[in-house]
Amino acid sequence: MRIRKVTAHAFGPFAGETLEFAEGMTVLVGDNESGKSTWHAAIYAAICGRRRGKGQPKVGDRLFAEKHKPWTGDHWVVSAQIDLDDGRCIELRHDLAGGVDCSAKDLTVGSDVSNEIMFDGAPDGAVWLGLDRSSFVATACVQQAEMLRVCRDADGLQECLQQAAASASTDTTAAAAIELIENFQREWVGLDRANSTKPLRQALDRLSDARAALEQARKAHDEYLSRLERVDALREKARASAARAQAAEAAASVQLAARLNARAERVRELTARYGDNPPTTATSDDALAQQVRNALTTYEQRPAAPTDPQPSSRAIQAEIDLLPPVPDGDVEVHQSVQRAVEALNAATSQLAMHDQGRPAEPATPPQVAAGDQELLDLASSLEAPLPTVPDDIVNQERITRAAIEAPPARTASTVLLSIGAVAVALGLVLSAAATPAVGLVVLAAGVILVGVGASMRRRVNPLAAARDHAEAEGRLRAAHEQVDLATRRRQQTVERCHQLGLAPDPEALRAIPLARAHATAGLGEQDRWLRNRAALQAAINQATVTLRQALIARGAESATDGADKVLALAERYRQECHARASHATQAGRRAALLEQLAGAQQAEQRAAADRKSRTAADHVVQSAAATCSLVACSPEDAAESLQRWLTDRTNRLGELSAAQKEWAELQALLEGQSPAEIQRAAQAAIRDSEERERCADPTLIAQIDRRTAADELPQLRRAAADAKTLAAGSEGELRQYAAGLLDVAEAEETAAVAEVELGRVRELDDTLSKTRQFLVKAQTRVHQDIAPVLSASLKQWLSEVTGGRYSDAIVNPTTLQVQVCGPSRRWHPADRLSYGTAEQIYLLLRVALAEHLTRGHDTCPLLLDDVTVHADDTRTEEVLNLLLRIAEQRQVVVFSQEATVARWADKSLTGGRHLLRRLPPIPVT
Amino acid sequence: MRLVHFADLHLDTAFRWAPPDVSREWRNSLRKTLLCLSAYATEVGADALTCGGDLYEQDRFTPDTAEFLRSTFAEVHPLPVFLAPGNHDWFGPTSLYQQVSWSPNVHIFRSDRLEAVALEDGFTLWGAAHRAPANTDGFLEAFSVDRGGVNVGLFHGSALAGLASQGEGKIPHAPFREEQINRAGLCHVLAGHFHTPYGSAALTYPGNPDPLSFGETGPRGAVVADISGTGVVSIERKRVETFAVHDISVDVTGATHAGMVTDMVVAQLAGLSGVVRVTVFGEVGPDIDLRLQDIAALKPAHCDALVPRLGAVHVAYDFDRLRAEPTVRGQFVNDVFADTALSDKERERILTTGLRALDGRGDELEVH
Repeated sequence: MRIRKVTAHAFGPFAGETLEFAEGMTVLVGDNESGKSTWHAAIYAAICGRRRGKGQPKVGDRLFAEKHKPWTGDHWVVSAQIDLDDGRCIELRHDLAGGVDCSAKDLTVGSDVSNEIMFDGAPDGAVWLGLDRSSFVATACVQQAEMLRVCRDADGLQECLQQAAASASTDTTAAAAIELIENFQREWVGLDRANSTKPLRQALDRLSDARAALEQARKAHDEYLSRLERVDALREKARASAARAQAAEAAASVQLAARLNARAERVRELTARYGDNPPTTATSDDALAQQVRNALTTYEQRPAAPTDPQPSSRAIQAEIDLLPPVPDGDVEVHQSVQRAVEALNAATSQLAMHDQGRPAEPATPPQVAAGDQELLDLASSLEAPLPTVPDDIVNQERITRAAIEAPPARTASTVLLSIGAVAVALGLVLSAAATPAVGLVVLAAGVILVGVGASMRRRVNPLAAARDHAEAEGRLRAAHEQVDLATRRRQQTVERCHQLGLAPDPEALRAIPLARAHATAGLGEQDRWLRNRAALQAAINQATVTLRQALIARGAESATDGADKVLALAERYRQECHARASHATQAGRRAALLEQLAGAQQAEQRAAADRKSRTAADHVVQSAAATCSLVACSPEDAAESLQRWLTDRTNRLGELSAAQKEWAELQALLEGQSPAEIQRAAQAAIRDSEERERCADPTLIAQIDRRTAADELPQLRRAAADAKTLAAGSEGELRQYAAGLLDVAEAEETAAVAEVELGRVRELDDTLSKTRQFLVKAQTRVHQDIAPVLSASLKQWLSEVTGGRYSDAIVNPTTLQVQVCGPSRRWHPADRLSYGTAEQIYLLLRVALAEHLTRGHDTCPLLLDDVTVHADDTRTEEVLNLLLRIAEQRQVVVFSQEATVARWADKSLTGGRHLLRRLPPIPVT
Repeated sequence: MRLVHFADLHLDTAFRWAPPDVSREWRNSLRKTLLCLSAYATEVGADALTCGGDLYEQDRFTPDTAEFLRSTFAEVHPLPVFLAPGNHDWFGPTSLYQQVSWSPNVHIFRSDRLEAVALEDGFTLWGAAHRAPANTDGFLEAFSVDRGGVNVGLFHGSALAGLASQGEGKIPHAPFREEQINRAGLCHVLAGHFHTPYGSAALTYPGNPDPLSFGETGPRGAVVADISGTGVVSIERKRVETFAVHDISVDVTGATHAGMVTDMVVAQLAGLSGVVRVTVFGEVGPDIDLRLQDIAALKPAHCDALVPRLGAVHVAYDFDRLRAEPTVRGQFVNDVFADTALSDKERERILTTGLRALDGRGDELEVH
């Protein structure tokens, strides 16, 4: 882009004035009040126009308007004629007062190209540069203040670069934007720390509190529902209790109604029977009745008809008179006599028995001159059998002898041994061959044959046979010797018997000692019997004496001796005792008869008295009957009539008593009320019971025993009252609890608000965090892109503009810090160089930035406003020389009031591509 | 036979979307609406007042609500009131229905099977209750009336064909198909559960009488059902709400500063009352500092509250031009646009925040 001319149709003090510009460098020199800054603003406005959106203008726009509105008139119009790189010549016209007279017109074809560059409601020529009216200022316009900052601020150059890299404007850097975000996030979000007072923590706390409150409210509501349920159960229980009580009341009322109705019925019945008059009483014959009752009592209580006792007292007396006197002496045998008799009888019996056992006289034994032992030995000897030689001994001797005498059997044993040996061998062979069974049989047979053979060979040993025979012969000889000895002894025994004159009979021999023994024993027994008899006789004698003494003692007659006599005396004594006993018995009846006599006499007296009483009773009853005018033939009839009379009277009295009772009952039933009132009360009770029955649960009524309902009623009423009290108490507690109940809906709403607030803060946090991340990332990326561009641009110009002092430059891609070095390769931060060098480097970087920021678009002109005002002449010339070099590639417009600049321009701006224009002072109006 | 029917009043509900200072007032307004309903039933000579469930919310009801309901229905005695508990006011041991000593004119259906109540000779009302907050089977499953005459159903359930009209997230409690109604012998069902009014020849949902959230449209409120002796049903809908909720959208395109936005919003509020949700949308200038609390503060005296909401608000940055900049700003814009993980709203916020930061607007970095 190249600006041909700018016309201030109405702009500040200018009205229709035009300023033309060279293709290369244009230096506009003017003193103060010559309108340099106004023209600078007019150029900017003619290129970019003004934002034309709705609403209030921005502060910058407002200040711009205040400063550059026309001094006179309403129109505020500027225009510019520019050449674009594509060859088009465009006329830009801006109605800065907000009108619609804004346009961009292609002067070649006459078409409006405003649409190509519309921005914020108005055509903006900076758009052809890839900028807008905001970034155009930062890119194309170099202010005096920027130059100052570069020179005076250590980080000025770096900051300017960062600003340009951020948004092609001078508003802020990316780092500053990031810091703004961080500050905002720190202030309006904060950290999630317990002690933080920032919004995030507050929102979290509020939400936590709200949720806790909501939880509490819900729990309280649940508790409320739970209590409701309990209260409902208590109510139900109270209702059930009340229903039971009500049913019992109904049942009791039914029972009461029935009772009252019965009472009313009874009252009606009694009233109908008696009216208002009480029944009469019966007291007129009470005395007669009492007399009758007394008479009957007397009659009924009269004694029974008496009977005389049997036997009579007279007969008993006669019997008494016939009784014997009590005998003198023993009436029974005295014990001493009795014992003595028994002892004597026993002794006599013993003697008799002893006599019956008298032993026989013993036989006399034969007279033999030999003792009993010898006789017994002889008998034994005779009884012993005579010995004989045993047959076996004889046979043994014969056999052994035959063995000695018989031919030897050696040949047979040899044969057997041979056959046995062959059989053993054959058996072994067969066992080893295919027929082990047969082999074993043959082998066994062989072994047997060998055994038999060997045995035979042993038996036929001649030495052994001789020895055996000698032994057998010895034994035979000894046997014969014993037989001979026995025979001799028997002979001697027989001879002795004969010598004693006895037969050699063992039994006879044995009978002699036995007879001797019998004789001796018989004599002993005879002697003992005699001694015993004597003793028994002595006992009899003693017993006789004893008896006699006893009899004497009892007064009986005594005998001098003889047991039989004494026993006879004793018998007589016994009979006398028996007789006396009989007499004593008869005499003993006297007391009983006397007693019987007394009883009979008393009975006879009672009978007499009874007869007298009965007669009196009969008289009384008959008298009473007569009083009652009853006819009776006998006392019994009279009594019977009187009884009937009393019964009739009792019946009459009963009827009267019943009437009295009923009357009393009636009075009791009335209780001072009238029968009509009683009737009404009964009807009311019936109605009440019917009403109660209607109100009560019939099922419950059916379960109740009406007879006991009234009794159970107090307890049921108490239970119902207790249940009601309990339910009422619980209801009260529930109401109290409900009064403090938290509103769940409000708690939910509070929680919802807290959630929304937390969501807002979290969303803000998230947005800020992500924005910061994007900005950091974009900053890094852009700095990395710009750094080499700036480095290359600097390298292109640096050596030339610094007179070879610096030849190389690098730009830090992270911080955009610029460093330069000369031939020595020592790197220096550009900010720390001399003012002149720094200004030159800055201008070079601005050009590079303009190049970079407008890359792909039209060439961006440079508009510089008094950029050398604080530089000395040397630095001014150096800057201007640099600008002149720059003007070879892009249009450069320099405003200045310095004479140095004017002189330089006069000297340096030669040729048609450059221009020096002096601005006249603005006339004062 | 004339029945006045309503449902889904949701007494004691929480208005999470509402400003805290007015939600309580709105809950009171729900009660006023019930009073209006009762008065209306008397006024039109209804033979009964019926409620199709969700009269209140079990999780939030207060003792005060219990007494309010008792006295409200007692005041219309002897007008019969039939209540069919829904999934929010399900009938159970701790149910409000169980606690109140109702006046004799109030009949509460307590079974989860349809039960008959003879309103007059030849006219039977069949009602049922939800006995749990969820998993209630359809009341018309295997159901058939056991008598002649006119039979009308009353329950809280979901007509499957109408679910789509209720928006997303509507849970089909006690579902049924409309063809089941006549098949069961019912000439009509007065139902509850759908907040958006819905109906057909055999079915009527009155909708929630008072607005419970924004965006509820249609002639909601009470339903006057005139039922002839032959079972012909005539339905008339009647608005009974006692407070209004408006949902307006304000196009703020072209606004370059907050003042312009507020002017646009105020202009739209003229003539409105009650609660107004204001959704702003459009393309605004990049310098605008738009804050929701500023809009909420615009509440005029004739409105109860303003609930501001940002719709599709775009900042009028020339992103194409910005993206062409070889600067950090251009790179930032490019990077943000290139990040496909971002939602449009998120991208909008990040771009605006970043560009404001680059403009040095450090106090305006919260973007809604």
